[in-house]
Amino acid sequence: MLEQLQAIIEGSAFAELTLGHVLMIAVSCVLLYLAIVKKFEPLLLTPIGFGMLLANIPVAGLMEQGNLLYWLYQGVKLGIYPPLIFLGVGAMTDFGPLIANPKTFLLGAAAQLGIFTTFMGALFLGFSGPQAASIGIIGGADGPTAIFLTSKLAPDLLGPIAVAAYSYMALVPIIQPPIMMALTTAKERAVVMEQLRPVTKREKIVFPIIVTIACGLIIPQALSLVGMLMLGNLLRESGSVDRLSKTAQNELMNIVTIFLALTVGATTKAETFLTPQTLGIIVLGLLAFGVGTAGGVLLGKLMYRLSGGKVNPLIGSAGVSAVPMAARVSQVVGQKANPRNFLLMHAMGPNVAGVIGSAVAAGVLLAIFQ
Amino acid sequence: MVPWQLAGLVLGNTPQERIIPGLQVTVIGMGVVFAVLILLYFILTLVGKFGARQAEAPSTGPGTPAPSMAVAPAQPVGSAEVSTATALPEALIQPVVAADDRSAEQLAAVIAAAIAAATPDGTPPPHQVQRRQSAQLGWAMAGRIALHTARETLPRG
Repeated sequence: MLEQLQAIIEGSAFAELTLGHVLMIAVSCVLLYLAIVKKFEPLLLTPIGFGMLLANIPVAGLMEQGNLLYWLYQGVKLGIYPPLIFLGVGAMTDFGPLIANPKTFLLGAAAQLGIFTTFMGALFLGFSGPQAASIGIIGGADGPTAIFLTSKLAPDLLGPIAVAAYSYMALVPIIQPPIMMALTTAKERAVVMEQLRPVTKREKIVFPIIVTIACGLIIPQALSLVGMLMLGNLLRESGSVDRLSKTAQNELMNIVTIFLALTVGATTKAETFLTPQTLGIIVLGLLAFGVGTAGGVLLGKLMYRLSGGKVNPLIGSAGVSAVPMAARVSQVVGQKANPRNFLLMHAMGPNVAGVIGSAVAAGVLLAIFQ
Repeated sequence: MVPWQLAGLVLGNTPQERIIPGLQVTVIGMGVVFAVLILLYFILTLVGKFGARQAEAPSTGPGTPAPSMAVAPAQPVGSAEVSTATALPEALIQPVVAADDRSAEQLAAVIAAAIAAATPDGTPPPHQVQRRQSAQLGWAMAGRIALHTARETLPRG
């Protein structure tokens, strides 16, 4: 009996536990705390944090070949989950504000500046081209896009990049306002924009088809993301496949989110995560978000000037994607300047344009580096 | 040779040797992103204009019948002026923003979200949004609802 007890003790994870594992378990608990108590992106940070916890318990080896998380991870590795997430996002997104005011496409494009500025920063720090491209895409503020590109270009960096992307997305309400305030005047922030025109059902149905054809022909590398996003939106807007639309929005989206976030969290093993590279990625990720926000706001300022003061530059910051958090930030900052200001719907235009923009940027980087 | 080197992108080892290729990728990348989104902007603008023209066409086209006038209710003798007023087409009496039920629901959801974002935590959410017959902008009406809600939540006494 004593021998059996000794075998159990020797086989326990305590024998293999290192300081790195303890540190990573602590980090996972912080993520779980942020998700559950502070409500920062709980749908994502909860499974990511728990995946991190599972991966850093030694001996169990859930990510080793033949085990549960290994098989689930194949969906990330093969680039299956991110487009499926996009399908659900498309089914949940109303592109009406963008269709009503297509000029906001430009704000969605300007906010992608963060991706390419960070790409250059990563090159300077000594990362290879594909690694720098994967780090830069954090600036797209779009988790599935970041995971999609990184799984194809730099799978070894998937853990830190995904954690940085989702963490900064959760911190958008903290990161963006100081940049928005610094780059705009009180007068600009107080601008009340004209009400958006109503959008017809026909326009909403034609939109996903047009976007798919245009993006697919110009950047076919982005088609698996953009195409699924638009398919989801077509399911929603066509009105003839409500069951499929609801499945994409709910069951499918939730299942894939669990698999994706859990396995991404499980890639953050202490041996690969606790490196100077990770620190560099965290710093560069913050730069990416900051520059992306600034790019959108600066183009918003230009549009403010050119339109004779009709465009509130604050909506530019929503171009970094992070739907709908970034649009809410525009709304909150705008309303602080003018309590009668309701920018939410106006900011949703650049916000959803940013999703398309970051997918196109990912396609460009794939075309160059894959 | 890896694909990006085949594409003419050669990264050196020093930061100085990486400036030019890094800038190349940045310019090409931002250029393509802007080009694609500007193209979509123009296409959508055209679709919007085409849609607006089609919406106007049924009422102005030569082969289309004139919009039917609402049938005036029977009026007592001597009330000619009243009957003229009630005979106005219904479209002119309705609010400017015509929307189907789903759009109305979305509008209500957006107004509710805007109010929720503008009010402190714990404020009860709006449970009813009514369309008011007013010439004022929708945003102004939404603002009024927000102010009204804020007033309700202020400590009294």
